[in-house]
Amino acid sequence: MEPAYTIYRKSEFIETDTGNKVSRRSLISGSQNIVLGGKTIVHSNCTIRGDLRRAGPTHQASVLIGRFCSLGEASVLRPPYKTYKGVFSYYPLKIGDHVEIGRNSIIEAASIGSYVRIGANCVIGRFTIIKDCCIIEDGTVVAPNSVIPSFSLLSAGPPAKISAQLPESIQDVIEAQSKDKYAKFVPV
Amino acid sequence: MPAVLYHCACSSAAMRHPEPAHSLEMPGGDGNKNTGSCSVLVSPVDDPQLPSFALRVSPLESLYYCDHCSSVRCTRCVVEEPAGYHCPNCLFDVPTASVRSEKNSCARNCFHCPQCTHVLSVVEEPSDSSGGADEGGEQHLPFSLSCSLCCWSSREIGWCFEKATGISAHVERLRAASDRTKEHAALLDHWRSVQRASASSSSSASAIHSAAAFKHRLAAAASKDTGVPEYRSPTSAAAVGDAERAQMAELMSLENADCLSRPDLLPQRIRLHMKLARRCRECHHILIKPVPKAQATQFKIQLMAANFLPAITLPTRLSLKHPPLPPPGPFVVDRVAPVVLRFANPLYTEMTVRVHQAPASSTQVHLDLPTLSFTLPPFTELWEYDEDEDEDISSSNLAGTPDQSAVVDRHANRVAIQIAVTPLAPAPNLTVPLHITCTHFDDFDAEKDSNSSAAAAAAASTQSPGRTVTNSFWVYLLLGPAH
Repeated sequence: MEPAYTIYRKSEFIETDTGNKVSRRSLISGSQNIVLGGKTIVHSNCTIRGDLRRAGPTHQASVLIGRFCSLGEASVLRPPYKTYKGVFSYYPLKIGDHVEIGRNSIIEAASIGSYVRIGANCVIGRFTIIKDCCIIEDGTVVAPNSVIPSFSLLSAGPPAKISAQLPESIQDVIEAQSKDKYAKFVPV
Repeated sequence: MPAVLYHCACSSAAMRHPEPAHSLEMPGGDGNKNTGSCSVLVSPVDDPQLPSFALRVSPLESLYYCDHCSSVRCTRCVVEEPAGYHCPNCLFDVPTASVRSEKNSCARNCFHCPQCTHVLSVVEEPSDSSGGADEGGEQHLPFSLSCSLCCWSSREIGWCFEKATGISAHVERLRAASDRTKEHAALLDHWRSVQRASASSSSSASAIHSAAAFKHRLAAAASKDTGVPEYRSPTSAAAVGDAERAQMAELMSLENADCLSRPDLLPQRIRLHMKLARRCRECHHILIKPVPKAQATQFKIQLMAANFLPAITLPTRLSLKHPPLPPPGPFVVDRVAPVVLRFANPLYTEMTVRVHQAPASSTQVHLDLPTLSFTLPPFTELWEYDEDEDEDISSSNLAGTPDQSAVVDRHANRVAIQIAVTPLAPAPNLTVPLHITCTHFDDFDAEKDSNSSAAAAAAASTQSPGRTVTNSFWVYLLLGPAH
């Protein structure tokens, strides 16, 4: 099946010059520390904690999101934290292009590559590294400090584990679908 | 969830004909095509009721395409070969030469937690703490493996290390000293020598594998007359003692045996992952060649079917100007239901597509579908940018020639057709087989392919450089339950 058109009320979403569509009902803290690459959709009730940034004076953004991403309803993006040499600090959360995050998922990863699909109700633990071209099934809890290699299909478990290797064309498939979904996300 | 699955010719071909049955490659003449397609149509369709049906069809994205044989290849008709090893945790590229000596595991500090299967990390315990002194004995060993998830620590089993690097090698030395490892190695050696001896003594290689020989050897083994030298254990580890057995029984009788600390649970080294190159099983042309580095996701060669065959989808709405289409179904026996299919051309050249239905006797549905033929415009990058182009299908085109009657929409490189489906019997998942023949002119590497036998038939009919490539295959529409 092709994905269906999503029709939204124009008053609900703010569209930026680069084509990002951000719901007015989302909670965005510290927006000066958040970078959206363009054509990214932030759905309603999504939380992005850009205010959780590295201690001390720094110019680094705390949440970096690439192009053609989709942050699902009620998802939470929160930069990871740790105490290193006695100093508590947050570290940046980087997300590549064509990343889809399902509804109610909590993301505290250190980095998520490009062409990644994270299902609904997932918890991605602190400092997780997800490489390119991965699919995380619905309801997966990824433990902190995990590394998910490229082309992995991660099944929910528990414990979450790599259940299969994805076909080689998965990059094209996810790219086409994320572009298609963006094109089909249209105002009334 | 309705789906469109593509059929790979290999499975049916291997079963019915000794030679590959994809003799569907036909020269581009129109007259030839009709006769050719007729011969294809009499070939039996896979029965969707068979349990093996699921093995023979797959979604388009997991199929490969051999452009040398001009045919679809599925995961079962390609040959896989390793194209690089890496650790899935630290993503370190392991040279092929050292994979075997490292027992197929990561030679760095990557271990699975024995309790929760999470990855262990190396932690350092400062020397001034009181805990390290009595465990370490005379020498303080500050490093140990610890699980950040379940708080398991390798100190529980007495694994402490002096350095934070090369823990795998250290652990292997520990393990090599244990009786079980010695026993395993001795057993391996023993049976390898037995295998070598039997292979050299048997008269012919085929005799080993024949069922009769196997039965004979089984009988010989049963009567203890094996001719195999007796195995002598270097240690006493092989025999499980009565004390161990009693301990095991005691553990199993406990309700929460898992909560007990288990000194025999050891961290496992993380297994290496492998990148795969794939070749066509018929002509051994390479279909997939990955960049061997662990971090890279590119492919040097990537021949996927999705880049050669039209993608067939079930749209929910043709475009914003059209009203939403009703979802396919519900399907009721002997009642006509429309189904809209959309074809998309992945190629940069124009493609002619012919759609045939399966012979009526072999299916559970009746299709109101004349032999349908249409052209798919080439794919252009430009289509991605202009979304409101006005190449709408005109009413005259809709009600034009009888062939075109089923075409309901044209947009960019995509054409939507409508077919009328009448289920003949109730089915849990109504399956509609369709035979697709698509033809395009390939001018890419004609001189390279013309000397090969597979492409010669196609190239012979055309005088101009390049060749006409015809792909025919079955697709199965899975449309959901029919009552």
